[in-house]
Amino acid sequence: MSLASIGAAILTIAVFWGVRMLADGAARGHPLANPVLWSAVVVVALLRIGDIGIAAYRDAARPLLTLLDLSVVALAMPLVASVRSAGRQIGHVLLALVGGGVTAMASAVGLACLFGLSRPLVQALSVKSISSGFAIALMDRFGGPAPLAAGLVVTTGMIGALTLPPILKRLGYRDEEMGLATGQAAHIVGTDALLRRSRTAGAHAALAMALSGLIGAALLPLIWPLIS
Amino acid sequence: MGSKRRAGGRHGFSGGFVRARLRCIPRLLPGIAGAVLCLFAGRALVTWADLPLPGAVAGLVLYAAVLLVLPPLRSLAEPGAALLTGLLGALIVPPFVGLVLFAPLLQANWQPVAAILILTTLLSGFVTAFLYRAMGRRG
Repeated sequence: MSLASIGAAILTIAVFWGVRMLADGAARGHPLANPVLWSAVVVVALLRIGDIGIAAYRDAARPLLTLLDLSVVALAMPLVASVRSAGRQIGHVLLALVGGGVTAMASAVGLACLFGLSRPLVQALSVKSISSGFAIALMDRFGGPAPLAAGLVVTTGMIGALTLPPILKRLGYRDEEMGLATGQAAHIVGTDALLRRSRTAGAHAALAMALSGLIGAALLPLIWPLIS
Repeated sequence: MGSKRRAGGRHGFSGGFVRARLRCIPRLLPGIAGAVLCLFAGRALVTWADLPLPGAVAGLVLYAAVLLVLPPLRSLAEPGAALLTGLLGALIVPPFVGLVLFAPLLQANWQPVAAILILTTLLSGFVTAFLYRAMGRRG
């Protein structure tokens, strides 16, 4: 690990922790107070001030991807806890998530092809409804554009976290259903926002996020030959 | 005088805080070691069986299987796993920053991309909520 990599790792983690503390204090639970988005803004600003290229920073931070893999593996812990709390409902949960996951992937790829978007954009959009840790790992495995996918995933998360909970609530959906839908469509951003508001909705969102990552990992190899 | 004592107290507190943090490290090790082992096992499995999966996803499935089969390991691995999942947000910052490098591509296509992101996010969320409610009603 080079000095630049250590510097990039310290910068990234320090900025994220600082931003998350501010976001938690100032705008608790609001989806726009997304620590990933604002950390990225702060990092870009600091790189501009220090006259360091974005590509140089991204390359230096590459060893962090191993740590990201470890974080994805560690999601086993909340997954096991939520599977146990879902109990006999787990079959329904799985079926609903497979339905949502297939809808997300098929509609995103279908519309992207319909609009005639370029190959990297179609590939990145195919994983837009999978939590970014999974999406980056999948893009690395299949040789897709990981940074583009990660950016679109976080943007998707913010759209879902802002829109789905209020709309579903108004339509009379219960916390469990709303949590599951938000975790599926808005993954970590939505889960993070819901966990601060309702325990039931947050736990269902966490379960949906982790299972949707696994469902997406199972679905992507099926459509990858069509979009690569 | 009083302020001096408070400052000293605060200093003492921060020393204790650091020591308390250092004492946490052994508690974090089992969860981290478990994740490292499962990640390597997952990568090896993916390469060996030529699975169309990222090694991390295979590792997650292995870790979950171990935790389900051996419940006593859960409380032992909890602190380390919580530290790692807490880092998840920080670790996706560099790829997200890398999005800036795609600015020309996104600017040229921002309307269809925005439409796809909004439409498919709402659609998949509604489908998930609708299916779960429908199955709940049927029992």
